Amino acid sequence: MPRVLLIEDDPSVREGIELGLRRRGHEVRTAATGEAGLTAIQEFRPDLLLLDLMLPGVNGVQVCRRVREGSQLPIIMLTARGDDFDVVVGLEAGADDYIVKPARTEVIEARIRAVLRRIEEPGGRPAVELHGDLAIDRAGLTVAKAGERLALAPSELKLLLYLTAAPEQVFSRQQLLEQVWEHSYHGDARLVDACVRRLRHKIEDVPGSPRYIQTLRGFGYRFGPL
Amino acid sequence: MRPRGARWRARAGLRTRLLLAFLLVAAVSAGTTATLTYRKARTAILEQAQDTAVSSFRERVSDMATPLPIEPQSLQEQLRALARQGKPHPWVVFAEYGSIRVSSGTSPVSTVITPQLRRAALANPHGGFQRVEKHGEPWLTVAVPTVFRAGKTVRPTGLVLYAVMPLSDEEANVRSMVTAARDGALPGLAVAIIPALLAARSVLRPVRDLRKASQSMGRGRLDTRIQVKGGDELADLARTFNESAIALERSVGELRDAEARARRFASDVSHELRTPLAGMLAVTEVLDEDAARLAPDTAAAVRLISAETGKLAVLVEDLMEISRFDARAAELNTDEVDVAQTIRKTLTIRRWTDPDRIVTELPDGIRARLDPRRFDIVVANLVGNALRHGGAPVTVRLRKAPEAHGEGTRLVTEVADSGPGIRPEVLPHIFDRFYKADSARTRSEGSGLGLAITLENVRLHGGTIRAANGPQGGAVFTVEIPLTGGEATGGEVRK
Amino acid sequence: MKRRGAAAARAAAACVMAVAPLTGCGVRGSDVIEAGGPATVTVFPADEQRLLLFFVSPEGRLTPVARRVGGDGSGQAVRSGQAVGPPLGDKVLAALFAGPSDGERAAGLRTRLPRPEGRPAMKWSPRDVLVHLPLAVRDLSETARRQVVCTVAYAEGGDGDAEVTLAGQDGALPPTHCDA
Repeated sequence: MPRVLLIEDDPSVREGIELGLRRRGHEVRTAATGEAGLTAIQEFRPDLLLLDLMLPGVNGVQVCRRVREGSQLPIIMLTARGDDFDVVVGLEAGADDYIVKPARTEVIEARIRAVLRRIEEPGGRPAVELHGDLAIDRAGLTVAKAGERLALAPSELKLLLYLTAAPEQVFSRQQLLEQVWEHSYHGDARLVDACVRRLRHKIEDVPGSPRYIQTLRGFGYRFGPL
Repeated sequence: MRPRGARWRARAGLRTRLLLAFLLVAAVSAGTTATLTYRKARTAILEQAQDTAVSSFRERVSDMATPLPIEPQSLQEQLRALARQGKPHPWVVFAEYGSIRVSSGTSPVSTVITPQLRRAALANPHGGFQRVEKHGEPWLTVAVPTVFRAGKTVRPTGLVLYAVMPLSDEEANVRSMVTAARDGALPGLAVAIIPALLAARSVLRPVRDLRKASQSMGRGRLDTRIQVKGGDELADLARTFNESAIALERSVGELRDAEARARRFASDVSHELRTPLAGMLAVTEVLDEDAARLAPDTAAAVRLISAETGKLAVLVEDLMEISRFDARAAELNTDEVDVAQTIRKTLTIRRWTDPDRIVTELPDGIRARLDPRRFDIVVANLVGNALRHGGAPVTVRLRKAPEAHGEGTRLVTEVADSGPGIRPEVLPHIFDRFYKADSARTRSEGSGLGLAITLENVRLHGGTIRAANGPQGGAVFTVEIPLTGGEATGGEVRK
Repeated sequence: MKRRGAAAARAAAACVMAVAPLTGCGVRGSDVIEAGGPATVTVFPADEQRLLLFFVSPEGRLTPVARRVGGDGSGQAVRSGQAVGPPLGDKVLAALFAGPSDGERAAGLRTRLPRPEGRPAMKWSPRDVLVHLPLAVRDLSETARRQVVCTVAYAEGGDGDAEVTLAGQDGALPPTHCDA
């Protein structure tokens, strides 16, 4: 079972979620502040971070950035619907997904599983695919550009793997939400847009005029053609 | 707003009336002045001519010497001399004595002298004159009876002298005066138009300002004020308008503040409720799982708490959503989608797939820019509502229709049920918040905000929603969203 | 609409009123207007050398004629009271009763007096004159009587204001003046 670190300042929410997840067999550690959370990451070595955005002191977005500086730890933000701006900022900071509070434990667990799930690989492919300067190792789950390894967050890696599995095929954002994030069809397309932006910063030569991940206005995204 | 034509007519009417009134006053005063002046001048001209003629004629006649009875030959000589001395114009002089008729002219008898003048001259020893029009020309005829001194008294000699002279010069003078009066009056009237226009403008400008200000107020700009100039009635009106506007702005402001406070309160309450709910909702599962192992009463209580927590969470979520609409904080994250597919997904996710309960008429290939999440809420609320309050089967129809006004097309989504329909008295309130169509119905189903949220979501798309009863009796909800609206904000795919 | 129509009519009427006096204009005819007195002319012969006889114009008005005294045998310039021949007054009366001369007739003058059978006579006193006519004075017309009265009043150097009594075969008339 995955090890989950929950950073949440409200005791009742913290306890409630911890209780719910533990009942489902997760190993849960909690922290009340951003600082305590960052320390706990070092000690606890969680598989996933549940991060409340509204924290006293070092807030959720800052925590998110610090984590992303050195790790590809999957991050799910806890947010209240309507805090739209925070969602966008959190996604830009590198969060992989978000959950709107209040949420049932089954919903939270489903998201955790979705983020942690590896994309099913089609068989009969070479271990390492070359797309232009990009070398994608589907078995090792690594991506290198011009021989240099890229640090991709889980959602970024999954999106890239999904798109490169069918180069030049157009996927609508709703399709990507369903397939990569395992959201319902009517999910928040901003997840896709934010993830694409982050990914482009890492893999494109000129993020402003992308070559690998291209936009088809009104339809969605596709990989290539190069 | 009044039609443009009527407004123009009303303004032209006021302006025209002012102009006409001005011109009328100018015309009357110019005409009266001209008439009085003309009359005075005409009288003066004629009196001058007449008096000169009469007195100088009498003077000349007084110089005469004559035997009695007169001698026609010598009298004629004298008459000719008299005629030459005529003032102000040459006279034709006639003399009448008994049956003798002598004149300075060719004809011994004048055709201009009237019998009245003759009678008057013979009856009274007084001079007299008469203006006569003959052959369209004015003449002055002067009669001077002669007397002579006899002893201590004077006696009429029986000789009457007449002078006849044309008044054509005087007539010409008078006519030129008329012409001058007319030529002066008409440019005067033309000049009067200028002050008339100025006055009309000065009257109409405040009226126009007032109209603009009223329109501006009508459009909701309650801080509209009119610049008050002067102290006339229109300035009073403007002042009154401003005072009314201030009062209106104040009371509307108070109302808005009160409403904003109430909404903020609702929003704050739901915010505050959310945090405890988040904790509670996370543990409902624990309660549900363990209820079976508890004593029956405790188990029932625990299940009740769990179920109500879930409903409370939905209610708080809906309240939050409505608050965001009220605060205009709701955003539209549009994406271009296949509408039929979107609706099918909505139905599938909620497991409304039983063909006995849900009938769909969803033509493929209709693409639209929508906020998929909000459109999902709209369809889900309508179908859910139809299933709960109407009756199966529920029909979901999708089609494109031309815009009622102007060009463009609308996306029409129709959800019809097979229930008893909506009672007429309920129809106007069907989208009201917490409105319960059936007062006996418990609040167990839905939050009471579903249709209100649906309405707001449709409006956010620039569309309309209406509820009606179909021809077969069931309720029909029709959502119309413009396909080519300018609603693309946020969430847009960038290139 | 009706009210505006009425207003327009009023305005038009006012315009007409204002402009109408200007159009009907020019010099028009008039009644006979009295202006000053008559003209006093000189009649010759002069006062002392003439006698005034009063005849009747074609219009029936008393009209004086001036005859030179002695020029045509009608009389001499003799003061009254002198008893040379028949008195001057009688000569005047005779001339009057003789009727207008040819020239005077040509001017349309006539007399209303009948030809007398005898000589008319006149008795003169400073303030009144008695004229005795050889005819029935009551039969005379008013004009005829005034012919006599005025002629007598201006005769004998009289200045016309003497009181004259006409007497005849049928008695005397009340005394009267020439200007009465």
